[in-house]
Amino acid sequence: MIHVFSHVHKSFQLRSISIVIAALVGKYVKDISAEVADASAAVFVSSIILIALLPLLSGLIRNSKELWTIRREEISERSLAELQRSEGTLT
Amino acid sequence: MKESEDSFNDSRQFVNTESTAQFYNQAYEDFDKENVVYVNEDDRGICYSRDTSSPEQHSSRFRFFGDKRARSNNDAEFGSQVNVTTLELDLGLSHEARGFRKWCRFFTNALCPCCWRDHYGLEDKPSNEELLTLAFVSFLTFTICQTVAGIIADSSALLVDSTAMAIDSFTYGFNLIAERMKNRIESHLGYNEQQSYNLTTEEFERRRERSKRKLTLILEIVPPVVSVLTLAVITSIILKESIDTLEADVKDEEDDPDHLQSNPNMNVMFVFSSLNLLVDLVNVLFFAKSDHVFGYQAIDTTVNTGRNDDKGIDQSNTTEQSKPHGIKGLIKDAYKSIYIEKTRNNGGAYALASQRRESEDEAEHYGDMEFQNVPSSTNNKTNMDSLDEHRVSKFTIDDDDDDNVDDNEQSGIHASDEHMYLDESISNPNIFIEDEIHDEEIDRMIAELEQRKVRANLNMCSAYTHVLADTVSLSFHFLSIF
Repeated sequence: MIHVFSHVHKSFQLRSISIVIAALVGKYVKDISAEVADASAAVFVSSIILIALLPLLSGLIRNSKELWTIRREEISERSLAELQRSEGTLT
Repeated sequence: MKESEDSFNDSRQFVNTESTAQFYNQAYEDFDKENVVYVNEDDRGICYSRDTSSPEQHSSRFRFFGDKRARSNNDAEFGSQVNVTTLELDLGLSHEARGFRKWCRFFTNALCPCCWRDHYGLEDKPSNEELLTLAFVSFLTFTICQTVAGIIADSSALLVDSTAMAIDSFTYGFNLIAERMKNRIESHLGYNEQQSYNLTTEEFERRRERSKRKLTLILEIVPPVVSVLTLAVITSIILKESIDTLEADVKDEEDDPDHLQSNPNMNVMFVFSSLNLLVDLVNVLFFAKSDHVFGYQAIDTTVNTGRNDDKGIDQSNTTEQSKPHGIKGLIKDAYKSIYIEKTRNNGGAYALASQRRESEDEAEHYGDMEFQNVPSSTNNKTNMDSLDEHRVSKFTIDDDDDDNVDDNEQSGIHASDEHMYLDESISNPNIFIEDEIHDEEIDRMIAELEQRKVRANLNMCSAYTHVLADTVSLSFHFLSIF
């Protein structure tokens, strides 16, 4: 069920740490402006988020396939039951 | 034991004949009043203990009792009734005070997870519901604060982080709903179907499980699709804006070195990111208390390891593999999921029971089989002390499964002087016994598993090559921007 959670903390920590570092760099390093530090942190955080989406997408695809299999199985069982019922009615 | 059995038999008759609401009240009162004996199962079989716990624990043990009884008697109908009963009790239909107690429990847990729970006689580990509630509330609250701070500070980094946090918190929320719905789904499925189609108990049970799985899958698919799409779109927009900002900054510096487009507040960024880490640490603390310090299992625990049970792969091994190791671990996990998906689709070691193909035949041929990490030097006796990543099979036979024994006899697996002990650390000799097989069969199995291992290594090499290539190209892209 909860495939999602294993990736929450690690990506969350990375995101927060990168923003902390960006804030410190923007504040104390003279050559790098706050704007550049903030934009760089945003790029880094966005990259982490997009990478973290990969396993989620993978899990979604897997679940969709399994759901599709169940759905097909149900349809075939239902049609078989209806067929049997109609045959029983005919006989 | 006698009184509890009588109580449950009476209750069962009652539920079959009279109103269920009355049954719920009566059953719980009997259970509470009599302080009944509950069933506990250990390695030696079933033993009985007297229940002296709190009302909350009564309820869970009541459920435990019913499940065990249903399982031991192979009585699905009885188990369903007990589940319905405990579900209604959990929802507080019989005891209005339970709702209040539940909130008390949550807040005492939140204030002091170590001491107060014991003081109030609560269970040591927080439940999934409590964990999810705590995570949902804390993440959502902080997301709102951080979004406001991000707008005030004019910080793109804080805003994109807030977006991800919002998605995280909504994911927790959806899973909280799913967790609460789980028991309801389990208890109410399939009765009409059984009556209308006149199904056998086994078929009914199979369809009931399938329906439960279907609803769980729907809950697992629909909300995450919305979350993932939203997150992907918003992140992409902010990523593009940030890259544009960086490019514009470089151009402006060339034209006018004193030019400044905006000035994000670094103090606000620092404070909120630090608080973010604190919130995350609090959540990790609670997850750790519930043995979920690294989150829940990343790998589906119902995967097929060759055994015909639902225990899945080795839990400790999975948890170890799920440990975070920074960005490397994140990328590794991402590709690990893809790799598992590939092997699962190929009917490999991670295939779901429903997707098993040739492995099913193997299991029938060799008896129950469990994969363990054992040394590669397994041509003779296996030394379990020096584990490495090579894999070989451990053959185990369930003592209550007579079919396995018959299968092994038919396949010529019998005691021999030239044998090989595949597992020397069997914890429960009553359940698992060692099996001895011919060397040639072992060689064949090892060759097959080594081949599988080579395929896995190739897959992983390919995955890491892609990661490396992506990282290098991304680095060059950033360098070109600066």
